[in-house]
Amino acid sequence: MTSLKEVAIGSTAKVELITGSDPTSERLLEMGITPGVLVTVIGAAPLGCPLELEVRGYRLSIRRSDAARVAVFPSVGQRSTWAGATSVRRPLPR
Amino acid sequence: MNVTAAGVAESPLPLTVALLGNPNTGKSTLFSALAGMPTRVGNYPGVTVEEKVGRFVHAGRPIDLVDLPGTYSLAPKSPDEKVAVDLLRGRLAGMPAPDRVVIVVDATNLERNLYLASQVIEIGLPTVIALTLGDAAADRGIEVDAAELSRRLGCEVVPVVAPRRQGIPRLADAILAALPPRQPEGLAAALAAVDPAQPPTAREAIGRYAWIERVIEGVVRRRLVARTIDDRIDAVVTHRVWGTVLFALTMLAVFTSIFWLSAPLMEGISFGVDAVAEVVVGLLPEGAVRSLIVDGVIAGAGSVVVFVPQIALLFFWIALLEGCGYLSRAAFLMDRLLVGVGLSGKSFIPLLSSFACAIPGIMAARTIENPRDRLLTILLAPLMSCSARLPVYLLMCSAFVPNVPLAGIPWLRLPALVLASLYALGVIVAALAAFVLTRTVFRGPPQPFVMELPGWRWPQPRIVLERVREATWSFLSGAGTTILAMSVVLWALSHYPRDEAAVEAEVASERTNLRARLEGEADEATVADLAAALEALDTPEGLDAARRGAAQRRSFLGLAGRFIEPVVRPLGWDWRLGCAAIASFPAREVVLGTLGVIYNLGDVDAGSEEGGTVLVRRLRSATWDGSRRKVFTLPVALSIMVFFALCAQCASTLVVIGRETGSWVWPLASFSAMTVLAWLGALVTYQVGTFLGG
Ligand SMILES: Nc1nc2c(ncn2[C@@H]2O[C@H](COP(=O)(O)OP(=O)(O)O)[C@@H](O)[C@H]2O)c(=O)[nH]1
Ligand SMILES: [Mg+2]
Repeated sequence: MTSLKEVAIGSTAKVELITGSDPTSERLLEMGITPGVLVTVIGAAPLGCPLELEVRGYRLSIRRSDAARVAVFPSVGQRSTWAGATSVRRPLPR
Repeated sequence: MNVTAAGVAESPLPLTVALLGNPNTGKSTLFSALAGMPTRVGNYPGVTVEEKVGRFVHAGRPIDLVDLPGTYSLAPKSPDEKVAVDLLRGRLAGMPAPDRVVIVVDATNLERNLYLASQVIEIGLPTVIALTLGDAAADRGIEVDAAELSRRLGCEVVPVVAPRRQGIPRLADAILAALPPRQPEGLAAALAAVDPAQPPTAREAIGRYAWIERVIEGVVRRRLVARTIDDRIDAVVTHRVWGTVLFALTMLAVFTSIFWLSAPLMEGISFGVDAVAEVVVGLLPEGAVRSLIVDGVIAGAGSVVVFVPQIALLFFWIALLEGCGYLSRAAFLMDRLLVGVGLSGKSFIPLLSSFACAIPGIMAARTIENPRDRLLTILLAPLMSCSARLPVYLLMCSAFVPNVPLAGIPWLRLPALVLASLYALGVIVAALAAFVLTRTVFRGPPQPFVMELPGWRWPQPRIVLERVREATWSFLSGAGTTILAMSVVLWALSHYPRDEAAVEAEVASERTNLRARLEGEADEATVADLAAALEALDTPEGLDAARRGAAQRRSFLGLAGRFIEPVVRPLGWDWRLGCAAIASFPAREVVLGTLGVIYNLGDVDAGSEEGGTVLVRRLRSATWDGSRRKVFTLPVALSIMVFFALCAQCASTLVVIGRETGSWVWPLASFSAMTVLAWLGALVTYQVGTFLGG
C-alpha cells in the first residue's frame, strides 16, 4: 500500500483511506482528505518537509509523518491544469 | 423608533449575532464593514481567546455582532475553536446562545467551507450565509450561483465584498429577517448512506463531503484557467531558492523594524517621560512623595509605554503577512527547523521577534492556535537574547574581554566570538529546554499540524490598523496596569527603609576607604581611577550619587543583595553585583543604570560613549570589601553575561507571560527555572574560567 508520503511532487493520487482516529486523522478528514478524493502534491518546503498539497481546489500543508497516514491508490498521473478539477464526483446512493 | 422586519417595535433588546466561519474567510473584514470599530474587546472567561463585540443599528434594531475565532469544524481541536463552538451552542458560561448566526463562506473555497456551514445549519439557529471573496473567486475563474446555493442549503446566501462594502445592507436585512433553516436536503440521507465499514471518525466527513460534492455540482462553475494567480505566486514563494531568499528578506525587514526602527520611537517616549518627570520635579518639594511620583509612577508608566513601538510594529507586520497569506507560508518554510524541538513553524516569528524583545514575541504567540505549542513558545521566548541584554554584553565585552584576534584572523576578535556565543547560548538552552519539556511536562499525543495555505490577497489597511490597535491596547490595559503597579512596589522596595544618618555614615566611610586605598596603591591607572572617584565625592553631583548609591544599597532590595551574597559568591560576584542583579528586576534594560547607581555614579547613560567609559573605569577599579582584590576579572565578566543571557530578571516579561497564559503559575515557573539555569550557567562559567585562567 502506498501513502501520500511516497507520491512524487507534481503527481496526483486518489485517496483510499485515512488510518488512525486521533485528532490529526480527524482534522485531515475534515479538511476534505476523504476516501475517493484526488490530492495533488504541489511541492515541499526547502528542507523537505512539510508538503504542500492541493485538494478540493485549495492549498494545504501537512507534515510527511502525517502524510504517511493517508493511504492512496497508485498514482493517477500529472496534475490536471484545470484548476479545481481535483475531486472525483461519485454518484451517491439515493 | 420604527418597526423592524421582524415586527419588533420600541427600543427593542439588542439582537446577538455570531460571525462564524473558517479562518481567513474575511470574518474580521466583514465585522468592521457591518459594525465598524468594536465596542467591546475582552477575553472569554477562563481562556485567553479574545472576545470582540461590535454594536450597530439596522432598521432601528440594535445588533451586537460577535466576531468568533475561525474554526474548521464543530469538533474543536484548539481553545480558539472551542470558544467558537461553545458560544454557538450556548455552552459558554454567562452567555446565551446567539439569536442569529452569520456563517462566513469563502467563494474561492466553497467545497471545504461548506463542511462547517453544513454542521452549523444543522444546529437550527436562524442563519444567514455571507458569501465572501466573490471578487477573488472571479479572478480565479470561479463563479458561484448564490440563489441556487441558497435553495439547496435552505438558508439565505448573500454575496458580499466587504472591503468594497458590496452587499452589506442586504446582509444586514437578511440578518434581521433570518429564520431557522430547513434541514438541508439530502444531508441526513448522505450521512446515513456512508459505508458502515468505515471507521466512525471518518463517517461524518465522508458523508458530509459526499453531500457537499452534490450541492456544489452546478452551483460552482469553473472557467478553464491554465495557471491561477496563486499558482504563480506560490511557485516563487515556496521555491527552494527564491522562496528562501524572499523569506530571509522578509524576516530581515520584520526584525530590523522592531530592533532598529523602534529605537527612535522608544527614545522619544523616554524623552517625553523625562520631560514629564522634570515638570513634576519642579512642582513638588523634594521628598518621598516626589520620589514616589517621579521614580515610581512616572518611571513605571514610562517603562510600560516604552514597549508600545515594538508591539505595534510587530503586529503591523503580522497583520500584513497574515492578510496577504504569507504568515502561513512562513510557518510552512520554517516548520522543519522547529519540529525537531517539538514545535511547529508557527513559532518562528514569535521567537525571532524575541531577539528584539520578549514582550512582543510572547504576544505574537497568539498566532499559534495549538495551545501546547503556544505555551511552549511563550516559555522559550525569554531565552532569546533581547536587545535589553545587548548593552550588558557590550559593556562587559569591551571592558573585560581582551580584544585579541582569533586564530590569526585580524577581523575575527575574541569579544565578537563571546557576543555570538551568548546569542547561541540562549538558542541552545531553549532547544534543550523544549526537548526536555516536550518529553516531560508537555508530553501528550502529537497535535495536528494541518495548515491551510490561504489564497493570496491584498491586505486591508483597516484590518491591519485594527490589529495593531488591538494588540497595543490589550498590552496597555492588561499587562500595563500590572507592570505599573509592580513598578511602584519595586520603587518602594528600593527606597525603603530610609535612614539618612546611616547613608551619611556610609558616604563618609567610603571617602576614608578611598583615601586609604589611594595611599597604598602603586599601579598608575588605578591611582588615577581612585583619585577621580575621590574627587567626584567633592562635587555636588558626585556626593548626591554617592548618597543615592548608599541609600539603594541599604534599601530592601539592597539588603536582599547582601542577603544573597553567599549564593552569588560561587559565581565570583560580590554583594554589589548581587544587588545589581536583583535591582535590575523591575526592568532589565536599566541594569547598567542600576550598576551605575550602586557604584555611586548616579544616573549614568551607559549607552553614551562618555557614560560607558566612566562606568567601565568605575567597575574596573571596584574591589572586594576590605581588600585590594579586583571584583571584575574575565571569568566574573563572563559569568555576569551568562547569567543575564539566561535569567528572567525582567518583571514586564513575567507579567506578560502571566497575562497571555491566564495564570500566575507559568511566570513563577519560568522565573524559577530560568534563575536556576542562569545561576548554574554562571557558576560553570566562573569556575571553569577561573580554573583555566589559573
Ligand atoms: N478580495 C477580497 N479580499 C477579502 C475579502 N474579505 C476579506 N478579504 C481579505 O482576506 C484576508 C483575511 O480577512 P480577515 O477578515 O482577516 O479574515 P478572518 O481570518 O476570517 O477574520 C484579508 O487580507 C482581507 O483583506 C473580499 O471579499 N475580497
Ligand atoms: Mg479574524
